[in-house]
Amino acid sequence: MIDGDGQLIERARSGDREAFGLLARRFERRVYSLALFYTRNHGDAEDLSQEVWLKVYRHLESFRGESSFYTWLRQITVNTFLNHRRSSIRHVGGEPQPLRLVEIESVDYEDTVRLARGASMEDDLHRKMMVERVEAALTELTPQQRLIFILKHNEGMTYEEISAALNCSTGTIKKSLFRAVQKLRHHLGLKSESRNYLRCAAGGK
Amino acid sequence: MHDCRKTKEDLIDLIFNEMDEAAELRLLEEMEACRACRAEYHSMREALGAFDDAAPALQPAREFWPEHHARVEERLDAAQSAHVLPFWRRTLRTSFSVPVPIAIAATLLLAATSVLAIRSFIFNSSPKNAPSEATEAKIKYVEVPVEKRVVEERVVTRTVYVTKRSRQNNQSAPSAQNLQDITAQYKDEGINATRATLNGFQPPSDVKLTVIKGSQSDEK
Repeated sequence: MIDGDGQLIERARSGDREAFGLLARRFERRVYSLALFYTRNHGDAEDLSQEVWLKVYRHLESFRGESSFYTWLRQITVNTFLNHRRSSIRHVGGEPQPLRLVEIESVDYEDTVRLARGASMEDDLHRKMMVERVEAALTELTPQQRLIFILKHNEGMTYEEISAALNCSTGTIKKSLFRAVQKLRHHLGLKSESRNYLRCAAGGK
Repeated sequence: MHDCRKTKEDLIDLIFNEMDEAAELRLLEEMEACRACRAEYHSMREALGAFDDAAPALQPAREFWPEHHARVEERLDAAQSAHVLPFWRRTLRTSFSVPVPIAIAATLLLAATSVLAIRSFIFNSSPKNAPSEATEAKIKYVEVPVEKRVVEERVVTRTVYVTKRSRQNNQSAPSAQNLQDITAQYKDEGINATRATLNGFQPPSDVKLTVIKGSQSDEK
């Protein structure tokens, strides 16, 4: 836990509203990113993020410091997602809306990369297509599969930690990860050389 | 012997760093000996790499975050002000989720209780069932003597005289001719004797008749 977090937490516990605001500013991007990957919808991600911070604000006294603050925050985030999943999921227009391409364009990462590499328009178009395909692959996954993939690949949680957080088996986690990778490969047009999983007699060199 | 299917199942553990060092080395050796498994591994790695390249572009723009933070702060301020509301306002604003079956059962129970209460109120306040004060004032109690006939017993005794002579002679009841002779005989002696008969006799309906028969032993 970052030293500054500990001081902010103590001040926030004592009722310092400003301290809690600073604490939220440090972690709100990660919380929102998780919510956005989970819901694939800005409106739902916004609602879930606010709900997470509300719960953190109300239950800050229950944080004992046995783990890092972000680990505790992440568990609250996952629980909020699961509760959201159990209740009615609100979609705009009845289906989760994927991020529009114009939103994907407006990111400083793109500008930085473009400026740094001096990329051509063709490269930009290629990059946008890749992003679109990744987005399409994620949309085909279920919310739980997306959440497992993000917790494993982005957050670096172990199978056991994910299993405990989501109350599912290790087999379910591995299947979800395999499905996510398969979807990505399919939409990105990446195929393995051989799909025949027959026994190799003497190696396949 | 190398099993591509088994190797493929283990690739997930490998690319997501869930293998110990020994198992990882064995798997890499397996892949070294099999081109198909190597191709599978590389395609999976490439897919994850593409995701890593695209992930930042899927995030909101820089100018999104201050607005997002402002909305979070606003939500927290609203939650904080909710804590200082009077108890009755907090109670009115409190909401909780109730399972639908329980809500339906509670609503039906409330409706049934209300109907029973209303019916009971209407029944008790109905004028047919409870006499009003004006009605009670009109009612006065009057003692009326009632004659009741008491049945009196009347005992009618008819004595039938039978002559000694005929009895001594052990004769049966005198015949009608004998009775006329007896009557005439008593008349000669100055005894006004009439023949007693029960012809035309009609006892009262509620009189109990007692017939007394005399016997030889009773005469003295």
